[in-house]
Amino acid sequence: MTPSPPQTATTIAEARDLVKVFRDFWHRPKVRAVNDITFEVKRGEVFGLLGPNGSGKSTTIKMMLGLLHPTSGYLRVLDRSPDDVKTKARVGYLAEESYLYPYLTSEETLHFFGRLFNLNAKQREERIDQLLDMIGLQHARRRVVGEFSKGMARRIGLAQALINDPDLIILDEPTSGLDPLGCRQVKDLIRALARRGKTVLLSSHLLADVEDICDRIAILYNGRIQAMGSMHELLEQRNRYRVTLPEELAPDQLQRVLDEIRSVLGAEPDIDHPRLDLEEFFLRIIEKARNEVESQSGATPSHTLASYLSAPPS
Amino acid sequence: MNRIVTVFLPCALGLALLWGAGTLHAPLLEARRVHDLDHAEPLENAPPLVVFSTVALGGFSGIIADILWVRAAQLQMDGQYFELVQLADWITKLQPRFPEGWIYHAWNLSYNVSVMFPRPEDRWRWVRHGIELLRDGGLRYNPAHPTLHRELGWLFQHKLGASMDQAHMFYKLAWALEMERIFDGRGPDYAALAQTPTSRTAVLQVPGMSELLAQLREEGFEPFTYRWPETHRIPVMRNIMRDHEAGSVLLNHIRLRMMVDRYRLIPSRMQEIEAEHGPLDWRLPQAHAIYWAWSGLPHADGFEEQMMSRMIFHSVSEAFQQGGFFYDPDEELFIPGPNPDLLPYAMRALEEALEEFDDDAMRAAHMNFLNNAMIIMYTHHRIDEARNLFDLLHTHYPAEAEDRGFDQYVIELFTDRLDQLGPQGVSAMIDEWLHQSHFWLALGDTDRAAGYDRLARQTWRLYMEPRLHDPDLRERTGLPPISDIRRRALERVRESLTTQTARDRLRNGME
Amino acid sequence: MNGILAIALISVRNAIRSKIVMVLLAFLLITLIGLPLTLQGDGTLPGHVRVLIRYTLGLATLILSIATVWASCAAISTEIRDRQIQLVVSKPVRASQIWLGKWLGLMAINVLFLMLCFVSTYAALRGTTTPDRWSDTEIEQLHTEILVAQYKLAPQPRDVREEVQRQYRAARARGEWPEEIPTQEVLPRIERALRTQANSVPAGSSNRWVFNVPHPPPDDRPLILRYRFSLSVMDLDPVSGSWTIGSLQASHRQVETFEQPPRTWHSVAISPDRIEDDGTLTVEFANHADRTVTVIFQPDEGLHLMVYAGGFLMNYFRAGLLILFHLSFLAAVGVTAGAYFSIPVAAMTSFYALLLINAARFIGRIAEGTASGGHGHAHGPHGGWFQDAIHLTSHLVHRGLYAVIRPLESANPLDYLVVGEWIPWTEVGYMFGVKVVLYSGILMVLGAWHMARKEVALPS
Repeated sequence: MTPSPPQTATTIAEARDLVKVFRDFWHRPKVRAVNDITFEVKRGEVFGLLGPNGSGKSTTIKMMLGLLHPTSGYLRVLDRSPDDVKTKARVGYLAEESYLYPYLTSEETLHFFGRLFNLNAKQREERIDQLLDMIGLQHARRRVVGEFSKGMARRIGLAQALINDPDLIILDEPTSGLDPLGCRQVKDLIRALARRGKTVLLSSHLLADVEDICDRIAILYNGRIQAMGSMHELLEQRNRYRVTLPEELAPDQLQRVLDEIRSVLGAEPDIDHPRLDLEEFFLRIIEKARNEVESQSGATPSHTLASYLSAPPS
Repeated sequence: MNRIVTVFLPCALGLALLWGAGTLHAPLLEARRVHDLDHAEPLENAPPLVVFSTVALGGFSGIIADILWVRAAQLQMDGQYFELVQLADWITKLQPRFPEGWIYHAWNLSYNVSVMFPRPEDRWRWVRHGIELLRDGGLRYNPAHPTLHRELGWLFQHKLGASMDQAHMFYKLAWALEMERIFDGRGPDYAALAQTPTSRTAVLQVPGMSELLAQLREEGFEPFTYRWPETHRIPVMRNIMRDHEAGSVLLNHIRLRMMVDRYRLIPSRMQEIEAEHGPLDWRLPQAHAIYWAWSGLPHADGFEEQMMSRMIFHSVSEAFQQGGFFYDPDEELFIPGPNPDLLPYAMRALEEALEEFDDDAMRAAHMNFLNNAMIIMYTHHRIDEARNLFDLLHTHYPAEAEDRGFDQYVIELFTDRLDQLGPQGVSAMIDEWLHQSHFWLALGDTDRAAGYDRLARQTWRLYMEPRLHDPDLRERTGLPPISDIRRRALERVRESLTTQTARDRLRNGME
Repeated sequence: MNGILAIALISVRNAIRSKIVMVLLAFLLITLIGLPLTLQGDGTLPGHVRVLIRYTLGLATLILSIATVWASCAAISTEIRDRQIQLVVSKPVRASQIWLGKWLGLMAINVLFLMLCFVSTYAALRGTTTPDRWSDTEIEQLHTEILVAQYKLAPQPRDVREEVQRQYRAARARGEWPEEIPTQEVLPRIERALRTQANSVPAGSSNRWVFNVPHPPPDDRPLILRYRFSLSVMDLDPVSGSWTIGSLQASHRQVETFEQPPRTWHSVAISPDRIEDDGTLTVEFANHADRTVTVIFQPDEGLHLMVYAGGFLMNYFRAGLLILFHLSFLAAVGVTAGAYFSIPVAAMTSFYALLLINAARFIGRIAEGTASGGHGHAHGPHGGWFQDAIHLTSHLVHRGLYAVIRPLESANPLDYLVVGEWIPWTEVGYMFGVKVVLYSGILMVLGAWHMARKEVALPS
């Protein structure tokens, strides 16, 4: 289920005793949004910030992007201050909502952000082409993003986050507003990026998202980290076991296995049929329907990662 | 504590201000009513600028008008006038229902600005701007405002009519030429105008009109612009019209439209005025002063009514004394003069005034008028009427005429007692009158020629009478024979004439 | 650079999408088309052209200024409000680049629209000054007096220092000034009196002025002597007089007699060959008034010489540049204000700042006034230290404010155009330095500094 842990454990981002206090007009402390948190993001891992709304996930991310300034504590991203333009040049960011210019087309939007990364025209052309393929919006290249559905806008948001071939990709609620299909595509994409060696930091309040793609997570509540560790460490129940039997098992074989268990344990094991999770089931149905009717609506991604997205030097 | 500062204090302050404003509301409404500031009636057919300024800008139009007004005053102080007409136009159109704005700016342009220019044609342009501002703007938006009528009348009566401005002769001539073009004479032909169709559609239905229009357009004239072509082309247009039966209808239609639309002269009203105040010469400003005062009278009461009645009375009197008009373009002569036909009307107006205000000043004015009128009638050779005036004077003011006879009295109105004048003085006076006589003869006014001739002869006779039987006195203080004086005067007139027509007239007249 | 251009482009598109800016630009178009069609002028061609230039371009500039201030205030503040700025700030662009990009975008719009204004007004000017509508004399007058660039020369000031001293000594000797009046109060009065006297011509006498003409115009370009006088009496009746122009040798003289009213501008055309070899031109005014009336030329600019320096188009272009520099300053004010505040607050702040700048002279006068008030104890012994402190504070505040806004004070370039006055390149260069480089630069530093410190993702 979980991919192999990163080989190199270089720290990409580090926060120590980080605090963010929001103040009101009179400069009086109003909310302690982030309260003394400490964590590290290692190169090549997918790190998830999990927590309910208002738990401090977005605030933490925005501090890592230089959009907010920590009240106190230590914060380094890519070995520099988050405000440093050299840091920003290597970071890709998808905001929790798509703050795009509604009057630009998909293409213009990506050109604009490409220019901000100082990419030349040729680079931009190439990357935009691949990105649009990747997110499946090639057909909406010349449509203004103001007309887009939330899902389409998220995809453009994702594309702009990747245009600079970032080393660190920060995704704030990457699946919010997407339908299950889109969710799955985005998750697949994140996994593919991780395989390519990219470091991903994401926040979400959707447990399934985090569970599916994160190597490590930190659970935030009320501005504090309540638990942190690898998915494996956190979820594994060391004193319980699950035995998966090969598929086509004849009833008498099953009976024999059960008898053996009863004799060893001296107790009755729980037994039921495995179920697909709903996401899995839903995607199968859709896949079947799509094969029958070639639908033109929505996005049809190529499922292939843009080739320029490079693996970081080890 | 913080709550009190951030919530309650602003609320309390807001409520207090609201209450304060509320208490002012009623007095403000009352003040609006009292000062007649309600612009409730909608403007109809107003140009876009006016609609925009009154509707879209609302109360802000007043502020903009004020800013422009300050700028206008500043520019005027700096001696920069070229923007003033534009500013006056905008200021008045921003507040079209504010008559004082129109009045001030019209007066400012006509009186203050015009005199800053040395050339009469420049001055006239500014005076005209003032007239147009009142006539085409002020009265359009405030048609029932008496003061606007009076101010417009005043511009005609005083700025054009009187001789206070150095360039008044230029104004009179310019106005007369403009009016002459429209009326083709002293005034409109009311009967013809009454028959003239007012609408363009009706004109087009007149038989032969389409051919006439085609011919005019072929020559480059477009009659329905209701503007005259360049001066030298007017006769060409007139000739084409004269040759067509539909021509007079078209010409009258153009005249009618120009009178009504451009000069805001309504023929029926002009006719009423003439019925009341005599055959006015509409080429002269006095007639227009009467017209505007007359137009304003129905809307006026109290002070305004009195002022306008006086304006009419003065202008009628002026029209008699100065409301005639002699123009000879060939000789380049423009001579405003008396209009003796108006005597009975001026007399009546005066008598009415005398009845109303019977005081010393009025009686002095009456006597002056009788004397002036006598001179006018005498020099126009309307001796009977002059003699009637003399009799009237005798009845009313017996001490005035004393022992003198009619002719002597008139002659001595021009000067002192003849005896005190000496032979040179009398001779010069006779010479001048004979000169006048021949001058008018050359210009074709035989009445005035005869009037001055009589004046000269009577003067000679009166002066020489006591000397006829006293050779010694005749030797010392006698005059040369009148034929000698006449010859010299004739010579001078001849030399001053520039056209053959005038010389011919003079020769024929002498015969 | 790439980033700046991208931001500039976005700022153009943002401005174009603003409803208020669009309404203003629609007004601009209406002004450019409608105003020339409805203008009345005073019925003369020069008057028409002056009103056309002053009001069409003046109103267009006003509209552009308002649109610029509004669009520039919105440039950064709406992006903060709509949070697009978060994506931009998270990219490797410096705050100064964002500021510069926004400003450049607005300037691009301004250049475009200003060009439109100037070209269309010029077209209107050409289209309404055709020979079929005006007389040849008027067209000639237009081309010699307005559609040219002439520099303005004041007559050489007379050296009155010695005379002042002499009169002062004489007056003291006669005991005219009591001893307690200090010298530094008396001398300026005498000097003022002498200067007025130097510009006065009593009836029956004459007075002479000398102009130094450094660059004589070509022979076919007459010099124009412009003058305006007031009278020692309170009426507006014309005065007769004459100008004698050129040296005293009869062959070189030009005599113009006239009868003109006071308080309005008059002009005399002078042939360039009246200028002496040493570059001086002497004019002598004789007052022929048949009444006791003294003609007084205003000492500041009641008498000056207009000398041909170049064609109208280049001058028109320079006027456009001056307006552009002003707009660039406005844009800088707005962008910086927008970096600090939300739109309505930024707009109010900007307009207030502009109001202060327009009131520069007034503020300068207050600064002067409070300077003397602070020491004068005019309010008696009860004023005390408190009043002094208030005076001093007020004085310092106004002095400081005046020092800041004074360099921005400039004549309206349209004032030059309507009198055909040459706009020197030095003025253009100075205004570029002050408004574009210095003040816009300072505003950029202020704006960028704040943006770099600002937390753009604060929860609303």
